[in-house]
Amino acid sequence: VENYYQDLLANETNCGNNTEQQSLQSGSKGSTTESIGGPEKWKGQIEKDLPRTFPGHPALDDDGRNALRRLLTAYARHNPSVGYCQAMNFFAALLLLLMPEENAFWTLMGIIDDYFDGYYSEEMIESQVDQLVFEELVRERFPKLVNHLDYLGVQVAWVTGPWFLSIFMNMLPWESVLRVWDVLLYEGNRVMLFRTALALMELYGPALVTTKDAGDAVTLLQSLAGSTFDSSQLVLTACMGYQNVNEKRLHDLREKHRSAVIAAVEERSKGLQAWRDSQGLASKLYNFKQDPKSMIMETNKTKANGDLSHSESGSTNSDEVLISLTGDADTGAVPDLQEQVVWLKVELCSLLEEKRSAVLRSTTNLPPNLSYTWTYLSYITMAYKLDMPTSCLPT
Amino acid sequence: MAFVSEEEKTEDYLFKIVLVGDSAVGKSNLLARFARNEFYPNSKSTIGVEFQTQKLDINGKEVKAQIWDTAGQERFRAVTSAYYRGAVGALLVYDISRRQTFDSIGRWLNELQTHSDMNVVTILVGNKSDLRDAREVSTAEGKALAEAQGLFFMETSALDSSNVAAAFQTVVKEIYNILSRKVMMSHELKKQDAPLDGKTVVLQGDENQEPAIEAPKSGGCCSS
Repeated sequence: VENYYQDLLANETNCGNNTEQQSLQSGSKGSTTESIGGPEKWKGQIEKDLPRTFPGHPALDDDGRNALRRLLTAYARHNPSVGYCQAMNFFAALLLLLMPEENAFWTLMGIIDDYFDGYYSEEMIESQVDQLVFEELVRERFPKLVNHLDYLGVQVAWVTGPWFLSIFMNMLPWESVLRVWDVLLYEGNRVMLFRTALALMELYGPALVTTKDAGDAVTLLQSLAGSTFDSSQLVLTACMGYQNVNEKRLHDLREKHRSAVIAAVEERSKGLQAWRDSQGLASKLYNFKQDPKSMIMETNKTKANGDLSHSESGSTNSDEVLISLTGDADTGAVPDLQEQVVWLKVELCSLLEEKRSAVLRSTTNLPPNLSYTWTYLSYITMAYKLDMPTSCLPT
Repeated sequence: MAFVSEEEKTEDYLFKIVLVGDSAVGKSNLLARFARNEFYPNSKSTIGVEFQTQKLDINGKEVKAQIWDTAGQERFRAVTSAYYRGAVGALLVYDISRRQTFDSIGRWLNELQTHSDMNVVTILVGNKSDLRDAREVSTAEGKALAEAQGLFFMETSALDSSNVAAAFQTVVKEIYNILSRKVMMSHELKKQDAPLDGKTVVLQGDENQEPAIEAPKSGGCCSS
């Protein structure tokens, strides 16, 4: 374990030329090598993301970026099944702000390999499972809200997917992000993701049910989340209000939903394989629009039909919902007025929120340095944790 | 999902449009330029999906475009494909200075056709046209691919903002045209039925009926 980080990086200097040549080759050969996925194919992605990680932050000068590159490269080599996944660049950069480089590596490893096992890997299965689990929890806790979102055609996961994947980074104000991370690192699992997201639904659900279309709903939820400046209220609501959302419960729910996700992933890779085969054939025949592709289109269509019947039944439901929403008023003219009032309120609300968040965004910025107490707490926690599972290191 | 609320004279249209393409081809900046007239040489990587609504004026009618900006990294496809549902338009973006991003277009197209529930009006967009010296994909190549696949085509630069609005407008206009033809047809049908006033017509991508939105077929328009 002593020189593990250094060894991972030393790899680079040994075979650095080698991999560079390979990446050059794959560049010139184009899609064929690309689809096979040569060694260290994440390299290009990391390079693309280095300047796109907290752009403009003073800590990310040339030295900072080099450290970030080393950290991400070392992790990708440590766990090739994950390699590099976008979002890790933000985590790594945050950790680099808070601790020495090698410690940041161990912490990142602890987070991705342990707490978020299966989350950022190629298939992202656990990430998809968690969204299904979360949707079920929201359905159970906030039936009215979900009813309204169903009526608008909004899937909760549209908004919460990015929340979970980025562990709220760039989604909440920094102070709130750090408070959530604090709890998450302390507890050593993903429960806090769920509790925080549920708390946000609780806080902003009442505003959401007044929205009139899918776009407004999504925008409103995003902008409200982005202005959750009362981090104490958030953490308190999350931790006190949802104590029965715990690891055991989540484990059971995950078990329940996992098979569906795996089936979908397999279906998907089969479809992709069929498409690749047809492409291979097509390019051999020098023709883009030949039969094999249209055959795939056929199968896709049948699948789409299945989905459609689903969405149709959704729309009949939505009529009923519409009726029940305006059900208080019996005469024809009143609902119109009411709707207009609601609509205006929503517009006003979102405008105010936008303004507020813009003002606050300009004043609040990234955490400047290591002045947060949570850092020490979580750092100690991590160091303690990392001592134990040496088994997760490859020998 | 596209909603068309038919009120007396002011028709309000809402179209869902997705931005897809490889990582770092400039999807987010196209959207930033179009929606807010902003450009960031280094914008942050998109995780999952981002979202913006923009109003457009088409033939004197107000049209709202609901634009979904998706993450480009390959593994996110499983996650982002959920966002294609209900899209009626798409901008399929590559970077003219990186051939690899052009080579991926076929896969993105397949992705789009597999996961959207109707034919989507699609424009192939070669972004970063300002990088003349670094060009790896010629305009002719882009055009040829678009023609072969029945897509619109345009080269844009989010940096100098050339063609950015035009690219979005092309898609929105085409959807609008297709839709207004459909609305006209349904109006004629409705004249026989009981009139529906102030009701919301939901445009569904039902494959069994005539296609609601039809992408231009092969040899379709490739204006630039």
